[in-house]
Amino acid sequence: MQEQITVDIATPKGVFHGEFPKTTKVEEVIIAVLSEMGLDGGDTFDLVYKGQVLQPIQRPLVSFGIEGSVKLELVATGSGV
Amino acid sequence: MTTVTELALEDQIAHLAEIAKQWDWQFARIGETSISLRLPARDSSWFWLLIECDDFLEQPPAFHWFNPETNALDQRADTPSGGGYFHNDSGRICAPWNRLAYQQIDARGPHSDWALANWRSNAKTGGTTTLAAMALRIHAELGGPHYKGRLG
Repeated sequence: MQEQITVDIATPKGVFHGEFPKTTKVEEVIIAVLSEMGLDGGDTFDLVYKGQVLQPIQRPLVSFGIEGSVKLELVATGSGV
Repeated sequence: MTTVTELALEDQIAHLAEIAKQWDWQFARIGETSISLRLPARDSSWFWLLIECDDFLEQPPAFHWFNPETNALDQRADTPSGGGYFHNDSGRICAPWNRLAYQQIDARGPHSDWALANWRSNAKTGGTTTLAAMALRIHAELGGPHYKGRLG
């Protein structure tokens, strides 16, 4: 089984391409993508996979059934009212 | 001469186009400052948006639901429902980053209590300040548990 997960992540500033060990926590992925894409760490973001918000963010990617090559979305939380 | 605002808008449009291409959304420029965008919903249907970006970044874009066959805007059959973002009464995307949410701009806009000029600093905007961020938010709502199908 592959130990790395290849990700394309749609972000507010375009697409992030990268690889993470499958045991990487969701929060670590979010922090890495925010830094790489120059996004404001003061805002809050969810990582979404096939319509599912990946929470709790302390869980590793693999615990959500994520393996191989995947597409994810980094979605600013904000709120609809 | 190209202004800083125009360059920023082009950057943002490029980011959205990049995502649309890889995510198999349909994206097209309509004139200099408008975009049509097709997004999938959880029930495997599609919704089209017409996004008007004139005066963006001073003002937020205007998000219309769109029928590409008739060019009609904001018809109930072309409008999703469910959750805090998709208002059943007005059919508007209810967020400070949608110009049509402001009653001072649009009679159907749900909010008379927001100031258009402060759209970026409105706490409910959060990090939803780029075109791509807005599209990703709408995509997440269409694909998430709050989505309830079409208004009409």
